[in-house]
Amino acid sequence: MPGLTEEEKAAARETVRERKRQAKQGADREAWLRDVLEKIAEMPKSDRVMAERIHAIVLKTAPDLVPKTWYGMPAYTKDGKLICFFTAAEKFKSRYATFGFEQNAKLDDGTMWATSWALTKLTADDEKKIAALVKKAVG
Amino acid sequence: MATKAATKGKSQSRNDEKVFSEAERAAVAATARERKAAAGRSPEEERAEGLKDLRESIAKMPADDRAMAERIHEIISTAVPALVPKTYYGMPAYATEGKNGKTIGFFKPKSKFKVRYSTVGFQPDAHLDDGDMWATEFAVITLTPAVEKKIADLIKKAAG
Repeated sequence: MPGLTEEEKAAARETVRERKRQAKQGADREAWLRDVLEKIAEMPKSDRVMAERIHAIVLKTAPDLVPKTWYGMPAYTKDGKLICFFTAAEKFKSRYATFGFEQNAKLDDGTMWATSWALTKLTADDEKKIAALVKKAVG
Repeated sequence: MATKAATKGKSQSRNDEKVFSEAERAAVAATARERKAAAGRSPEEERAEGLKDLRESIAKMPADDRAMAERIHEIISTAVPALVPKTYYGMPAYATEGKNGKTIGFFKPKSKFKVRYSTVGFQPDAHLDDGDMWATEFAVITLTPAVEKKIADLIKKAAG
């Protein structure tokens, strides 16, 4: 597809591979987890450290969530539905990583609420915030 | 590698069409068109064409998304008139002025990917920084006066 950046083309190719692989794997949680850990291992150090920490926080806070890659990113699902995901800063050459939630997350608060956060580093305070968000999201 | 890609090219792209949803393919095609069209425009043309694209994008939305998009467009244009309207992956978006204007915010109608809420989102060129963790995307269900003020404040800060 002309007009797209190299990162976008790479992301599209990767998504094709990912969906085909997941279709073959069926509901194989072990295989999905391996894919997530592999994706995290491929990240540059600063993203990797953050992704590993977030992976641990998410699964400690909500052990029922099932890790699965989504557009090549570590993501966490419940009953087959996407709840949250981590976008490495490197993925789209951004100045920050992102931790985001999708519509099945129960973060509702009035008629407007935040669904995605920029992260430049991960302090103990941020970790607490992320744990609280994940807890609310699956509540 | 090059030879392999060349021989596989056609069947590969057919396969990809099956893997991606219609909404995903439409968004990618819209982006490619937007970038091609934007090349070589003067700033005045950019603003006029961008506004036209944005209005077309809004006009295609279902009634509830359209009403929200129109109101958000008013709020953003009033809050920061210097921002340049445009579309981004086919969505209404706002960029900084100038030759290398950067998209800083966008409105993603809930109809786009068939989800339960629309979102107002910000890009890395938005200046919403607050410590080392800050919100960059917001679900919007209804536009109350409080929500409208929040959106205006966000876009002002983002463009600041």
